[in-house]
Amino acid sequence: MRPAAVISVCLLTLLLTACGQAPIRTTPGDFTLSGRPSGHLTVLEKWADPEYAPYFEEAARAYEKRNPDVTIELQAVGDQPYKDRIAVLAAARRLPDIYFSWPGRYAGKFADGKMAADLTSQLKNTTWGRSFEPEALDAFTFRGRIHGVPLDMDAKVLVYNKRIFAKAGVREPRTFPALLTACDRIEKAGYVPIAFGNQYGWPAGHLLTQFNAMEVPPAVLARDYAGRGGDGAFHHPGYVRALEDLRRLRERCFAPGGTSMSHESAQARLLYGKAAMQYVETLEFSYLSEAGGAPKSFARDWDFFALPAMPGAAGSPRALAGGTDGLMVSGNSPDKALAVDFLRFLTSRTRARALVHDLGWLSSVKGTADAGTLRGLPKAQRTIAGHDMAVWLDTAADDKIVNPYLSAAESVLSGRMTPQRAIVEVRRGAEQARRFGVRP
Amino acid sequence: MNATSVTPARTTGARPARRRLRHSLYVAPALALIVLFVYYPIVENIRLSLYKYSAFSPVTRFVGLENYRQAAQDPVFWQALLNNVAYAAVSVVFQVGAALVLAAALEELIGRRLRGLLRTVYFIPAAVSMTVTGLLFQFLYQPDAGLVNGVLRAVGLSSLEHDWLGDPGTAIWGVITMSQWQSFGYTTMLLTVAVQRVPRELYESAHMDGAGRVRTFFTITVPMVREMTGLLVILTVSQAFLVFNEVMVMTGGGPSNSSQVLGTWLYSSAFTGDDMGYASAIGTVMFLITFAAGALQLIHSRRKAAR
Repeated sequence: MRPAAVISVCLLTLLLTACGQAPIRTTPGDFTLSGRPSGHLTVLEKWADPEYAPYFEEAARAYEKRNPDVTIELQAVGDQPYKDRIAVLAAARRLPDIYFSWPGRYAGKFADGKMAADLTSQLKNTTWGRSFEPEALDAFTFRGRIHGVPLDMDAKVLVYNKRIFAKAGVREPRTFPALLTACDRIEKAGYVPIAFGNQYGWPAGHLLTQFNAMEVPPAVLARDYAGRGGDGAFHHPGYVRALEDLRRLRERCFAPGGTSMSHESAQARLLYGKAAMQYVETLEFSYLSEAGGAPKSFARDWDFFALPAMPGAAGSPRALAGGTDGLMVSGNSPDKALAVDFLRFLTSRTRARALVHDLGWLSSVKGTADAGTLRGLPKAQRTIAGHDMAVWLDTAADDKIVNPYLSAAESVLSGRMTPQRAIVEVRRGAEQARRFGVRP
Repeated sequence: MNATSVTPARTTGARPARRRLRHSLYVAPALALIVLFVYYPIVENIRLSLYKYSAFSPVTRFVGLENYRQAAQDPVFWQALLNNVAYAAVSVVFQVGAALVLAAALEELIGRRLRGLLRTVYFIPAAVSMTVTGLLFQFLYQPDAGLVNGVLRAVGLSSLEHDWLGDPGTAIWGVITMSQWQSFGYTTMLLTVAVQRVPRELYESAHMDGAGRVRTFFTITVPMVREMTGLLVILTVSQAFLVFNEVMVMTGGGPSNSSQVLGTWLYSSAFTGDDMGYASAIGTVMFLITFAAGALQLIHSRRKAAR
């Protein structure tokens, strides 16, 4: 999009805002269907990838078939276009009936702006609510009220090539120093220890999500991410230690050139036996299978483990970077009852098992991991259950803190900044966010 | 005075008025569209830059010039502005200066048949989509398997091998280089047309007076194509300050915001930072710069023409 177009979109946003709708207060009665489901639903989500889109289209058609008086208008766009479009629609108060959201502060913005219907009456202590993993629901709970329906579970783990590990005489490391030692051995054996591509910044953000959660006490982290840290924000020594962990990984585990390489290009190194490990989302497991394009030599010979913690760290040693994607119902939807009925259908046990089977994702619905045929899914489910989920830094932290943080992480990765200097930059960003904050 | 003598006078008075009205009606739709889609957004953008607001909150807050003060204290804004200036400077040198030299050389030194072929070859990059070009150059710049480092290795200059887009010191230059490659042929074509319109007699008399090719270039070609070069300077400078796609595709503004330009920083502030008022302020600054560049160049050209 050209800047002129961006400006026009911003302006259009304002125009639409002027004639937008005022938020409507949600009451439990809004969710009661009167008679057979009927009406029209608009849905906007971000699963436009040809591998994923058919599943959601098929689900919508199945619901329409079951309810002939209902029509569903499903729109899927890519990640970044979704962020652009939902921002414009939100500003115009013209949100679709159902829309996608990442967890954490990202979802919280819709809740704070009264743009997401309060679904507490439908999900708290109800049969439907109890069908979800508790931490998945927590990701959409703000000030005790539930504003979103979780759909899938995702976590970041270190996938490794078992053949290379055997050649280098390395076993799954249990601590962070053991991981660094493993990297040294793998490099000596002639392989890249960890394939890393950080072209768009988020892979470093995911690593920092986990390091911060391991090195900084959860309460401090939550306060600072939310921009409530005041002058003391990001002063906990754990933040510097997290960046030091990142630097150690760069020095001992990454190959040069990762800054300009895409995550996907780096993954090719893992798949074709050039690299021993990669920090991978469980949602990406389908790409590690033969059906997903991985060579047989790799597809049959990989395993994974959670990124281990530094002993004695001040945060949670069992932190695991990840999150749960979900769907929200617009606070202004004229037919919230129908929207909720469709979401019940989409997250029913049958559909959740279909999601695990067809897409290779982990569902937020309990007891569905065994429906998948993909290698690693049941273990991924157990790993998530045994860890404390740390929501992605770029959706958990205040918008104004994310850019300085990712920028500082990139500087540490390129060796141009020390962790101590980098955290000063983060503090400066947080201070700027406070001084020029958007929200009153 | 009878009626017949009055009627013509009335008719002649009414006709121009009716004609003016008719002309105004012809112009009105275009004028309305320009006002609606060009001038109104500019004015609205300036108004919005005086507010703080989030796309996700119904609350807007009047902050006066605070967004501009924020820009003044924002190191990324200054980095982006500096990158735009570098973009403009390099673009003027290559897309106007070097392109004019090439256009003159094509006309003077190259045979007619080869000239046509070369023009096509130079123009081809301009016909390739920016996204495709960006991805192509990403491959060329790749540190381990890219052509650029491969060539350096092949000619024994391994010490110069570099992570071109991954190093904050070189990322923006990698993008600028790609942009020159793409636009150079296009401006050369435009300048070739301008050079062809210079009367041949001027060159012949210069040669008879003993002027060499370099002298002829500076004393005849350059002054005679001034209108075209003036126009190209405005266009390249404006485009350099509006650049967006190239940076977005190749670096996304990174690493560490080192390759941000005003366009990408505006986008990032609006849609990632959710700071719409600040994004509007950046947009206003971009408008003022391009407007000033265009106005200055127009004033300069008019003065020259008047002289």
